[in-house]
Amino acid sequence: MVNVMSILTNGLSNATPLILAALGEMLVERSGKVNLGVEGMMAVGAAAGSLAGVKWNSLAGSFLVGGLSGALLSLIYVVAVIGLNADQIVTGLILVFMGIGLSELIGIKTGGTPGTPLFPSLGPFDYLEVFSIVLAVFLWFLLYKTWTGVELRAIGEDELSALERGLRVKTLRVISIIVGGFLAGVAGTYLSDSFHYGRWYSGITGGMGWIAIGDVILGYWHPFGILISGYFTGLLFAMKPLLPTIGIPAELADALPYFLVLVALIIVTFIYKRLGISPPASVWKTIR
Amino acid sequence: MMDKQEYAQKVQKTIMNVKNIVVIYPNGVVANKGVSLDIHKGEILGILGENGAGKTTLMKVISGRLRPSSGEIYIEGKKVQFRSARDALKYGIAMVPQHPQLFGGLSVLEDLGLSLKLAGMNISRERLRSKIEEIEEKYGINIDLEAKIWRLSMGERQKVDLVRTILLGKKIIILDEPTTHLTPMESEKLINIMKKLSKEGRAVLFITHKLKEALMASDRIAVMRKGKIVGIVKKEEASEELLIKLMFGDKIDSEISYVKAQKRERDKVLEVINLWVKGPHGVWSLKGIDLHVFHNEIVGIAGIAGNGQRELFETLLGLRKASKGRIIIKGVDVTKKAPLYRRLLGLAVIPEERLGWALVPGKSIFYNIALGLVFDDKSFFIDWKRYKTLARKVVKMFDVKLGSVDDPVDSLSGGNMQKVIVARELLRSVDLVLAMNPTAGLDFKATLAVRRTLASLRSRGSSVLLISEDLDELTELSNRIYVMSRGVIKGPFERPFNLKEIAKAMTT
Repeated sequence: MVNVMSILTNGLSNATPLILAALGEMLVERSGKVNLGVEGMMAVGAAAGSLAGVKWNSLAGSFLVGGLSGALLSLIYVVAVIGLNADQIVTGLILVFMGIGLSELIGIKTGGTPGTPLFPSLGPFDYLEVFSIVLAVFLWFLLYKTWTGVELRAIGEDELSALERGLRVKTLRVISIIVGGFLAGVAGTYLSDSFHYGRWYSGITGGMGWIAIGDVILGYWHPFGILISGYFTGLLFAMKPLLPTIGIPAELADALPYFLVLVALIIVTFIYKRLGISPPASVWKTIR
Repeated sequence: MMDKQEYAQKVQKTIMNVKNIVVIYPNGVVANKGVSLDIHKGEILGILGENGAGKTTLMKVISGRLRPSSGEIYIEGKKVQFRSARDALKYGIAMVPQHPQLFGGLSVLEDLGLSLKLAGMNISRERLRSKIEEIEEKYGINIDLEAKIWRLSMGERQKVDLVRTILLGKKIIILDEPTTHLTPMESEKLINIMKKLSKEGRAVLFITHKLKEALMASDRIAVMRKGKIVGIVKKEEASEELLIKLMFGDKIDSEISYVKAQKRERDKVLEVINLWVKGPHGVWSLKGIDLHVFHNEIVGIAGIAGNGQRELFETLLGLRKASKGRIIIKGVDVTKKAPLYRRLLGLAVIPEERLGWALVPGKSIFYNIALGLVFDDKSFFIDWKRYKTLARKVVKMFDVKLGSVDDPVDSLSGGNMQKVIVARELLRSVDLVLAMNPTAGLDFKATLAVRRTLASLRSRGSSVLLISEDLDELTELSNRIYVMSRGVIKGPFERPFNLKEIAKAMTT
């Protein structure tokens, strides 16, 4: 019984970085682009955020620097893809490796410093957990209740029509990408600040960025959908320690959550098709 | 000499003058060769001409979507320059494009609101809703404002665009071939709306290639040919003969040959037995279809759009799975066979969507022609030269108007695209042609060319299954006509056709 409680709280905090990064990526994909560099931006955020936290002993500073570092990395994507028409998939992948490399470079500077328990908790919730929910509600309001949100969705639906009608294709897209980068950076910082007492270690993201991209699809590009998919995948990962106790070898237990995410993806895609719900039309399509 | 009063009256009446508009596209095609036109307040000005005459290009210039190479535009005497459709909107000029370009994931209300915001009107959802409902009531248009665009049919999407232009086109409303996706009844309704709009003092530009509609709706008709306005005719002076003469320059013969079918049991080219098929949303679209096509026969399938014709077309082609029943082409059961297998048996296809289905947009004309022959080409290397020569020969034979066979296929006008498709399909030996609305959106001359080709195929011994919403076309061409209604087939009706009977079968 003790186990159940800890799994739930672990699931909740696992979900938070996933939700933050996925909400950012959702904005990017809603604007008609795909940035696969989430993992890289999270890695940079984890290292830069940790370093700032250690140096200044400030939680806010840590998150701010983490977010900004992610946004900075996403600027490379903006220049390459929006400015110079580079391929969005390749650029995203390069961002991943660049981010992980930069993360090592920055993270090494935090090495040796004992992590200070910076992160406070508010009962079962912490600040960022609450923030991720508020952010989802805010983004829902933005996308569905404001004309700017409608404009953003329209751009993602059909770029050529949007251009012909005179919508702000580039502007809104660039803003979405940078915000997406910032949120991925914050998500990365959360990994070091909340899970590891502000300490960075090599390989800290461990594929969370990729899961976040899966969560965008799982949540069907909808803020509330992403909340649900985020908690679902967060719980899956929290159950990892439980699996060896029911006879599943630990090595397999590491891989199982990833596999289950894949299964969930297949199932929901089928369900959405049956329900007649369609994703943004231009997602994953390269027009120019 | 005009006296002062007369001059003043004329200036007051004119909303817009365009002067010497020349449009040269990047590929060198001159689409408008010095067009001048006065547009008056409160008139319906028909713009008539065959496909490729330059109508749409001129309208794109007037609505700000295209910047002319040279020429001037004046609005109420003042010279203006449009950099985008947004600029034209600010002057109250709005257009319903031929093919609606809406945003699939948005609701109708959102799509419309976005345009209003662009035009500089900031308006709440509630006020927008009541404004649209006002328009709906006034002009008798029905759309569900909360419906997602991707669920709407082409005709419904056009209605959305129409409401948009009524909201925004305070001075000039342009409708580019607005009846393409409409039934005759809906077209008539649309013309009534146009009349209402013109009575309010707006100028309505009605682009069409259908003579009857132009005559029915317009106060004046400007006829375009080869990038020029060749005549402006007042309603009182207009007649079909005069307009045809202006449109084509010479008289054309519209006879179509009729050949009797060989009706012996073993001459069945196509046989469909008790075919049950599910549509895209999992409901039955075809409920036990039985039909057959003999040698030397054109068999028509009539029906109002959306009664299962598309599913029938897709199932016969092999794109949609039959849940029950059999399809037999030339004695071979092809129910479970792939499209390629059916094509190799001698099936040729003319789909409704020219671009995307029949042709690869962005690829050259000869590439698209070569695509029809790839499954016969057994050599390892591609002999592009051979295909190019062949393409040149074919386009000449079918009188396709083009710059070069290297041009992208989407640079062609609709009629010429269709000619390329028909030519490509007929390069192989063909026993059965499956055609769906083959003349939709085509002008008089291109329509005639396509119909003639189908008729000549019949005289050569091939057969055609013609699915069409155009009853005139069906009665003109078909040996027999089936009617589709709610997934069930009725008939066949035999020559001479009783139109009343057919129409009744379509609507019950």
